[in-house]
Amino acid sequence: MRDGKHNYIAYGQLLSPRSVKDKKKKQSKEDEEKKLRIRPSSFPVSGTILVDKTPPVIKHEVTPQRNELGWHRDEVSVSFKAIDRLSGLASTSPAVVLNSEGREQIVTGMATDRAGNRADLEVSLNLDLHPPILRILGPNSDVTLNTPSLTITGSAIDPFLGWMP
Amino acid sequence: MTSGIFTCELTLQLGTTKIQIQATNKAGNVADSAITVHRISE
Repeated sequence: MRDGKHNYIAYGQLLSPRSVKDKKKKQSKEDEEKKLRIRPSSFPVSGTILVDKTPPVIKHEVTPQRNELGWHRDEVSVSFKAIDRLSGLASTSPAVVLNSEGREQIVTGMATDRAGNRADLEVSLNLDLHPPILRILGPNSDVTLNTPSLTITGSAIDPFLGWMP
Repeated sequence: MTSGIFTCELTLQLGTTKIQIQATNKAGNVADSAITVHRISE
């Protein structure tokens, strides 16, 4: 059955609880078959069935946004928003705050609809909270020179990343 | 980890010069280091 609203008409027959009990005692296979047949004299029952086999659509929002190189340098909040046009949303993951440093860390969000369909979303984040370690190796500060040319040597280390181009 | 050694060639004027070097990682975190040098006439 496809997604959407489906109208139906069926035929039913009212039975008292006692008669149901009595009938159960005597029920043969033939009786059961008769019971299942649609009888013109019974009353019609109509209704609507809502079919939803489609999972919700889930999106995420990262605050603050990553920079042009795909990195964050402050604590990051990832919130999830979802919509479901048929049965409606049952649940959506709460926001996640990421404050641990690392490359390609995965944050997962999930949404379910009232029909039980589920959508998952993974968000990859790069977070570095610290500056690189920069050292001037030579010359020492406060050195006095009597020539115009000077060569400075230094080192730079970053635990996670490469350098800004 | 990313690391590197750098060199920088400068021409000094007479007197005192403060030289500041900056490194920025991809996340935008900035590190500074500085030295002061004095040049006297030959």
